[in-house]
Amino acid sequence: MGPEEELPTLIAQKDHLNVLRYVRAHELREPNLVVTHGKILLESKTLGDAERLASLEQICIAACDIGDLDLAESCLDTIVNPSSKNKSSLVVTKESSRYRKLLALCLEAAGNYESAGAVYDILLQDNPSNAYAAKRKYCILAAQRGKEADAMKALDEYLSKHPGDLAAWNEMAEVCLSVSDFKGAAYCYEELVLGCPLDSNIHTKLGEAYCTAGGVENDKLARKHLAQAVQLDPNNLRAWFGLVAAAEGYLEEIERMSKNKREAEDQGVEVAKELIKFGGEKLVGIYKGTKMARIINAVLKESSESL
Amino acid sequence: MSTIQISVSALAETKMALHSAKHGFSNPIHGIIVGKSGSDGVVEIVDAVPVCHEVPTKPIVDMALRLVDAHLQQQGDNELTIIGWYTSNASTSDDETPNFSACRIASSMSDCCQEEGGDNFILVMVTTSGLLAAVSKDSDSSSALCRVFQKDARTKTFSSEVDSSLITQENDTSYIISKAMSKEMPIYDFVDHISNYGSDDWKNMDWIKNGSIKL
Repeated sequence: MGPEEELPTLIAQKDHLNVLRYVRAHELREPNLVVTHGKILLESKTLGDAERLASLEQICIAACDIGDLDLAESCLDTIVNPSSKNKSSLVVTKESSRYRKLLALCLEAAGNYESAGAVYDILLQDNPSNAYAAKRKYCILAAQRGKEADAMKALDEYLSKHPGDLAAWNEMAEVCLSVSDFKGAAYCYEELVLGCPLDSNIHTKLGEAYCTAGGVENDKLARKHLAQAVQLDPNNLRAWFGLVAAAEGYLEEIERMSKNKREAEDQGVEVAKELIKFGGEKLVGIYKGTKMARIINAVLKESSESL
Repeated sequence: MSTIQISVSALAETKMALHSAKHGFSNPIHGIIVGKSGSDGVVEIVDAVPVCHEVPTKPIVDMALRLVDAHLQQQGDNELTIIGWYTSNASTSDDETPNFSACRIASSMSDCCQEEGGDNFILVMVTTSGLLAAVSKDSDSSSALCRVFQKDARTKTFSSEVDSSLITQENDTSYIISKAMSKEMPIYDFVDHISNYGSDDWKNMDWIKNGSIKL
């Protein structure tokens, strides 16, 4: 029995060990599940060393996630002080960097940011390119109200040292979005697109960011990326909606332009109108026979009538 | 901006609470408030339509508003319109105010409906303390689930808070909300709906009515 079994089956069978394994293997965020099954697992079986430590680590992180700090602390204790029942040859000391990462995480969860920061500083001293510690230092700043500017600076520094870290670019994009810096978010999503040029969802987010930033040039870029998104994945419903919205946004901007500038964009206007028709037809087709069909038809009819 | 009096239905509060709780892992949530808004300053919040659980972008907001508008028109009830926007912040604090993107959206929406009596456009914010009060089955909770903001006449931003004495809830709202949350009633927003095309569940993701939420 391995991670091929489905999670609901494992839960129903009360196979606690494999529930934990499944969550780990699929990198799910299910802290309630982990804590519930983990508690029972720890009390019942005697596990192999590696399995026991991996489970303790997983349960500790899940406990931090749901705010059960007592459980988190007891897991930390058990990791360095195994009970006589689980006499093992694998000894974990407090100097272990994996243990220290867990300790710092628990300190963060308890709101003790200074001590957590101190642990990460030690880790960074030992290894200045420790990306995990640098990222957690940013997270500590991001968690505190009023420190948004410091957090952005920290993330910026991190990105200049680790420009290939796509997850960090994603985080930066979200931070930009939260302060309504749509051009900044677009810049970050551009970096993500460089890393994953065939990912339809990233093109969609990039297109949406450009569309929200507004302006004729941004609307053209928005169209381009949303069109790329639907080409990569014709089932990306979000991209289809985005494509119609971006093309309409472009046409609205054109309306507001002076006559001479408008002439230069003639071809763009033709393209936009075609996109609206094309996207509209696709959407009507997708929703045919569903409950939303009537309202989709109403909204898209409105768009094509205004062309 | 006339003196306003607001009543909130239990259904709207339950949906907002469920939407907030579903995305409690530091995601902001946004949605549309549907109801009746009279020129006499009486505002009735009838329903809430969840839109997204991330920072909303123009295509998402535009499409959601147009679809809900078309839905309301086809329902035939001439009095029910879009009267506001609701939100909940990604992170909580004691003195929280609605996040910046929600304020921007509310401002541009109220500018658009200025002609149709958009003076009383409201921005509703679900607070964590309000959620906690609702779930603790405290029938005597002093924390209402949400706080309501209006456009400040001077600064034109949605920073003018409506005093809680002017907001009335239905009886037993806290009880209704905590029952719905303990049953873990499913709630879907617009982004859930468009992100899950192709999955088995797609046709059930009825984000506009969320009909499976029964009080």
